[in-house]
Amino acid sequence: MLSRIGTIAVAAAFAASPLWIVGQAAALELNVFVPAAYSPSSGFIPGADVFKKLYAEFQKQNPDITLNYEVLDPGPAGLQKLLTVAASNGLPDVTIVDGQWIARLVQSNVLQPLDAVWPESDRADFHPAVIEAETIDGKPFGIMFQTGMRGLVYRPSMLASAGLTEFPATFDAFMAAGKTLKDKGISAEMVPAKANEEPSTMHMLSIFWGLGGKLVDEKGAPVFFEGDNGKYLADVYQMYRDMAAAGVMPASVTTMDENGLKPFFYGGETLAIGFSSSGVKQMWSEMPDLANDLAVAPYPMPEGEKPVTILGGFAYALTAKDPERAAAGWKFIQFMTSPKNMGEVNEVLGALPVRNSIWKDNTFFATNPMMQSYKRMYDGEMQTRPAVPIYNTISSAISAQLAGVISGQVKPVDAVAAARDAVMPEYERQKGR
Amino acid sequence: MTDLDQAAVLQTRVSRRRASRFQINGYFFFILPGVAFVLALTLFPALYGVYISLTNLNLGYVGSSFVGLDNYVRFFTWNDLGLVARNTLTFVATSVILQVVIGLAVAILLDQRLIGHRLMRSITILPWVLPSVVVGLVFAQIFGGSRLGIANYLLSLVGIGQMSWFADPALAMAILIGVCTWRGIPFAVIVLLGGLQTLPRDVYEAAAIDGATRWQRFRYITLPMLRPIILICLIMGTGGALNSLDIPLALTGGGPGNATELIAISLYKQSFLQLDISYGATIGTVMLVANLVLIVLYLSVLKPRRRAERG
Repeated sequence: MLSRIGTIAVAAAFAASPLWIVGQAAALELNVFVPAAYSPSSGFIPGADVFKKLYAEFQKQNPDITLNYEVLDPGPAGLQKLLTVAASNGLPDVTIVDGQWIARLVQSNVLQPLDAVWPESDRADFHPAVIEAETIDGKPFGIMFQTGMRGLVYRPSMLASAGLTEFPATFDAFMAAGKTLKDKGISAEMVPAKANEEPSTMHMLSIFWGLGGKLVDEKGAPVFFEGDNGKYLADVYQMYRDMAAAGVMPASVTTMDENGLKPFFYGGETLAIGFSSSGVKQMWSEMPDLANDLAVAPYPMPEGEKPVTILGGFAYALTAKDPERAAAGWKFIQFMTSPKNMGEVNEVLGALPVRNSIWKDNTFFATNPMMQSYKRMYDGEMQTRPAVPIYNTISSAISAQLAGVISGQVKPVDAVAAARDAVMPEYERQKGR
Repeated sequence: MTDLDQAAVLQTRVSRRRASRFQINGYFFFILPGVAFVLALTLFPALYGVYISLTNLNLGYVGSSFVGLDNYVRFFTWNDLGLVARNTLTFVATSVILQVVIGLAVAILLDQRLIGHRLMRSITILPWVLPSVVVGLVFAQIFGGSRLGIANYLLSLVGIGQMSWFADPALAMAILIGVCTWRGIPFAVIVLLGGLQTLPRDVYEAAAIDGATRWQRFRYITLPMLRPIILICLIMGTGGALNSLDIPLALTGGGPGNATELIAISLYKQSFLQLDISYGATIGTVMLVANLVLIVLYLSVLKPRRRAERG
């Protein structure tokens, strides 16, 4: 009897297998490259969970598509990988890209324009600067789903204990407050100033742009050292030097990236750190008492000036050229960037939204005081980093001078000249290509 | 021996020679996949790297073209070359000498077969089995500049104030050398202990009978006999330190500024941060030449030893 049942079961399995094979063959395998932080492989468990949930939901809604994701480095190595796989015809169908890479990827014909598939009505929900950041020759090439904003993150309780009711808005007031804090053994500010680290430059850029400085001209040629631009950059260096010389900021910041500053902040050794909004949720999870005691302030500026917020973030982009794969890819992008799903991801990760509807309708972003502080920065002036190939060299050259300036070994004007000398030979070399 | 016998002997010799040639060919056939694998993974990338160094391939730009020796001219006229070369030389020389000197002292101690020497041998090897990136990150935590840094906490227990370990260029370099030395000592110990255990004991006994002191036995027996092993240690350690990227990158990243920037860090920054693949390949080619010089040295050290072994 048992052997008969076994025989029937095996026969049934064999009989059904062609159906299973046909079913599998019919499913389109959609290949997606995503940074770990924006995937089910995220090290931040709530982040991993939300992506697992959304991917499963997408699969359920689209049984004809099998989703395969591969982790992509979020730094320059990610761009390198995309260009390498493009050269060997191994591109995925969809990829998440840093907004900075879009121009380069479009040059190499890696990304597909979205103007034909992305409705105008949906585009209207985004901040105009966001759309502009992803548009080349009038065509959008990505849909940004979050932005990170940099500012000075501080504890209001610590500010109050220093006798201050609000975070100083001007540089002079900040220096005065910093000297008071110094007497209590607390530094007023720490911003990352490690050489060749992009965030080191990004913190400087908000001030530099706020003063009116320009990195490159309309043709993409470096001009950060010329005339007023050079003066503004020297002013920013001077502000860093003044803070270090007065003991308002420790000189050791020249060895630190943003994460390296966190122990000083957690240990109450500094009032404020230069930090990205992207790490706020992580901070709350690492130190729960910060949930109700964390705020963000723009960089204190010389009287009458305001810093400019850097707009930049990751975007979903379509790489598939085959119409069938492109259609499936667009389905996935639409799903992940829908207001509901994008809002859920933004909320869980604490990544700032770029859709106006999320800022308005999502309870967390609409009511959380910290997020509302970011919203005020978001509503102000925003600028993207120039999407020109020489930018990496400029950024590296500017941050490389920080150690010398902060320690007092290099004068700000000499630092500007040294940065120029590091950039221009490379620019001349590449100009003739 | 008759002509017939002589012919038979000759025939045997010829067939033996043929068999031996066949054996060589047979061996060659079997090692061919291995040789091809090694060549594909070492020789091809190396030669391709040399080729790329003669172009202007930069992933920030579309396309590339042949630029001859431009990248080499750029490298040898690079403003920071002096600093990076000095840093690399200081790092390599100091860490390798310390590794061998301390490694030799530890090896001699372990060779004494004192109580617990087996346990000590296992403990000595521990730093070597740790992934080097983990070593770099752990020591970065230990020497963290905040009061939450382990070293600062320990100092605070004895009333010493907080220190910014990586903010001072000399201190940062000293920590980098110290950590790499710590990581490299086990390798030196293993190699030198192996060498010590092959030294003939009767020579020591004869010297002891002749009244040689411990120092004299070490100076006039151990050191000269261990010389080839020490040289191998020095050369391999130099190769390892010269190409070392993981610990320096995780620990100081070349900072503060570029005060601890080593040649391998420059290569990494150019290739993977600046995306200037050609210039990175140029630095890589210069390092390749330096490594080839080390290999030649290594082989020349081994040669006399092989001859001596053959008798």
